Amino acid sequence: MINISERTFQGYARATGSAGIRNRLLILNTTGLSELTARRIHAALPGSLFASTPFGGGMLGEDAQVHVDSILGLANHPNAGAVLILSADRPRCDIISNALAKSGKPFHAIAYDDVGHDTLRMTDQGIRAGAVLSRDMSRHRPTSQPLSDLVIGLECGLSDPTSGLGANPLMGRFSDQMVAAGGTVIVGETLEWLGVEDRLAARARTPKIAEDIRQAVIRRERIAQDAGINLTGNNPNHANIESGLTTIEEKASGSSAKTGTQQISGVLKYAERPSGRGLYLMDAPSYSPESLTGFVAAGAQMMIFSTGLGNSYVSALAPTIKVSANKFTSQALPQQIDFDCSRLLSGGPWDEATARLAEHVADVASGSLTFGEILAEGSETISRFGASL
Amino acid sequence: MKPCVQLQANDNVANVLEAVIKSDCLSVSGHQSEDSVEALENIRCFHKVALIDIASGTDVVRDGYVIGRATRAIKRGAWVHVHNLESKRA
Repeated sequence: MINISERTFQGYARATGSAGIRNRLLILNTTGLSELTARRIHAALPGSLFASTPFGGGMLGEDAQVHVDSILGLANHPNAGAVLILSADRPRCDIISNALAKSGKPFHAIAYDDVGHDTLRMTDQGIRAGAVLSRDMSRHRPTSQPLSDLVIGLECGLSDPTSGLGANPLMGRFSDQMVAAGGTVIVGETLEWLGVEDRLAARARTPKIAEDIRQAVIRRERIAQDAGINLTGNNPNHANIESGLTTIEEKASGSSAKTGTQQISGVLKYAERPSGRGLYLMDAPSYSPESLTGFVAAGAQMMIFSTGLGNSYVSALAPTIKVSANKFTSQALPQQIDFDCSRLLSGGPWDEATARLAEHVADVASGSLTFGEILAEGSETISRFGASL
Repeated sequence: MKPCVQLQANDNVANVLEAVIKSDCLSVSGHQSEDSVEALENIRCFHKVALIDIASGTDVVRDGYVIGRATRAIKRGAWVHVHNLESKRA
């Protein structure tokens, strides 16, 4: 049995607080206009990570604020040892640069404004600046860090009944141990609290948090009602239903098993950082690309992601452990599923599987690769919450 | 005997863990470990089987959660899916 509170991993101490489980150069593109130039620079710097937004001007109010906060969260992410910021406009660059200058993270920022709107000059300068950042960053050595310092995001995607029978309850058991040891866990996908909100609210640390959980569900359900859609066929989607799931309540009951049994310490807004340690819910869309980026921007260094039928999507910044309890999927996708827990369905011991998962988490935190990293299946997608001008 | 799993004692459905053919005998593990159910029809792997007769309009319960209501009478041993179960929510 692994004791998480005493377990350490080899990670990269950061001036900003939480340690990184990787030390990579992040090419961070912050405006849609500059994305292709940023991709060209990323392609020339093997080993760099890439995150981008296709949007830029014309966002308003809360939507614009969430977008900037999310980009700041990506820029400050502990797995990035240095950041190359790219943008069409200088003011956008300055927002990110000022924040990184404060946090002490090495960075270089280039805007089209700085290079006379010459994409080839930006490419040249970006590759050169990125090469220097990478070389300097590579001098950083990992040191022993408490495993309980990790922030871990839990997600499920393309679920089937095995998700609720095996993979998600296993993640819930791991989450319970992580939280008991002083670690931090984030679970999102608000729509999948629908039908289980009373039991989640009963675990809230305060009455205010219980009310936040209920209100988040009401708002999300209203979005569906206002759109006039029937959730059956949408979430659960056609593939979930084909696999044996039926209603949103059934899917939610399986999905929410990820949360385990510990007290819920708060409901985060999209991309919001937890204010302390413990188990947090994030009020956010269920679609994995948006959901995972919300966790990343909130500081999650790692994801554990269950799938029933298979789902290749991973976070670009946070190594993502793919877990499946479906023996057919684990057999069919051996270079996608990092952790096969299908024996749980035939009575395999839960304690043994939980310890094995915790050990796997510690290994990945210390540098063992996930298939998603090896195959570069990762991306980041920041949610939108309003219309553009 | 093919396995199916009932997660909570008051659940009226269980998930089958293998593909089931009509007339197969299912052993219920979990909370009614002595019980067995005869399948009234083919049921795909991991889909649900009714453990008792479920009247039209009444709750379908899995893992202690109401996962929807029966849209028609469902016999013990029948396949429970979107053709006879609907959400009570949006």
